[in-house]
Amino acid sequence: MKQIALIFALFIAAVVQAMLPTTAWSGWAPAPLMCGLVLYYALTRPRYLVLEAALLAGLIEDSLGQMPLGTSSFGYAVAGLIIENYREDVVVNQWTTHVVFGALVNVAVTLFAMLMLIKDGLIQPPFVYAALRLVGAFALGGIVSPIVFTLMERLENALGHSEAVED
Amino acid sequence: MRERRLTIWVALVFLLLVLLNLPAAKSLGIKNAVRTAIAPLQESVANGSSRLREGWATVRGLGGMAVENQRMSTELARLQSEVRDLKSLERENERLRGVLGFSSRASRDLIPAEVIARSRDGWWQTLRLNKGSDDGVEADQAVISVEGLVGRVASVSQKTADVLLLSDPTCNVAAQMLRSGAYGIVSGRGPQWDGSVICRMEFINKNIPVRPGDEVITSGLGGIFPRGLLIGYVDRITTDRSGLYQYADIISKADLGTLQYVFAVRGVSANAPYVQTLGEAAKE
Repeated sequence: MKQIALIFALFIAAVVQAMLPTTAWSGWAPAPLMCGLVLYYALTRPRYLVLEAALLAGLIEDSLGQMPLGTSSFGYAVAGLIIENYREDVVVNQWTTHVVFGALVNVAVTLFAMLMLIKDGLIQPPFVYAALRLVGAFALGGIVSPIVFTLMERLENALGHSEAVED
Repeated sequence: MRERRLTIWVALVFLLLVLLNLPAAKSLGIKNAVRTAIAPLQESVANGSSRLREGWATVRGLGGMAVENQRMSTELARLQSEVRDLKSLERENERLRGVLGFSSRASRDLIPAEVIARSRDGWWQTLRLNKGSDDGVEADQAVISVEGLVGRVASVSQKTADVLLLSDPTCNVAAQMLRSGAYGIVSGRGPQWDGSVICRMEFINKNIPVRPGDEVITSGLGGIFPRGLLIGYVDRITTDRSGLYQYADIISKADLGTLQYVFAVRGVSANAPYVQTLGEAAKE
């Protein structure tokens, strides 16, 4: 059931993320709904679900875009596991945690993807554009993650599996 | 416990390395499977939002419908007269081509498709269509709208196709100025700060005069885009730093940001000119 909820949430997030507009001020960074979902699982669910969420989110995101397969999965998996490892040290249900982690995870994953694409010669972004993109990813990660967190909590409450941090 | 953790990390790294290094065909196969699975959801959401937009536009435009109707009637009359003129020119052209021994023009098969998603990752300028290989769409087919060239098909799954837009820096189109006949290559400039779509036509012979407002069409020389598709208009002309060429900023005729319906151009050689009308294709 938890897997079904995860896949349902990922599909909805993928479709909505593809529909939401992007802006010049954020370097056309997309609203990071998938990143928010991975963060939610990293802060509240056992490791196997974190990995599942990270791999599937990356797979869907890369499949729907032109990114080489596995790039986003790698970024999400590493970020998710690092957060899962240190979640005992933070207040999981505090919105400031979601803002800070959301911003950091999104900027880290964006930077990783950008470096991979530059390395493969797939993009050559001007410095200003790349910098703006990272600032945009940081800001959007901080804004979107608490919203995704709240929505996911409500979804899981509705489905009846809303236990706190699991091990 | 520590060994278990290490095993998980090693397994994860292995899995991800495999994923990252999959052969292109396998990687595309996985991508296509995911795209096909999500396509119905994307299509229904796109349809829903388009109906909402249309409904809202109808409500807002109720007051101006009489004026709009009048304007469209005038436009229809003008276009009908233009079509009559063009038909007689086409007949004359065919007759002259026959006299000169040129082969007859092949008509073009257009596949109508609806835009169900736009790339929001910012690195590439792409659209996703609700038609794929099942409907005859193939990679590298030209994609046009009623207004002009949109881009080319970059990848296809059974039910969807991704279109690389004209505004993407990696989309290169062999082009020609309609007035002066000057040749060049048009490529996208990526997203602009104000959201406008600008392409650049490069390698234009410096001795050929180019004016703002000149129409730019596909030349058919690149092998992908058929000849005669309208790309846009010249906005600004600059001489290349080397002084050997000039280049022109082109404003795309098709509004790439708001496209809803487009057509993939099926199976004709690049040199065959564009003949089938969009109206005929829409009827299909």
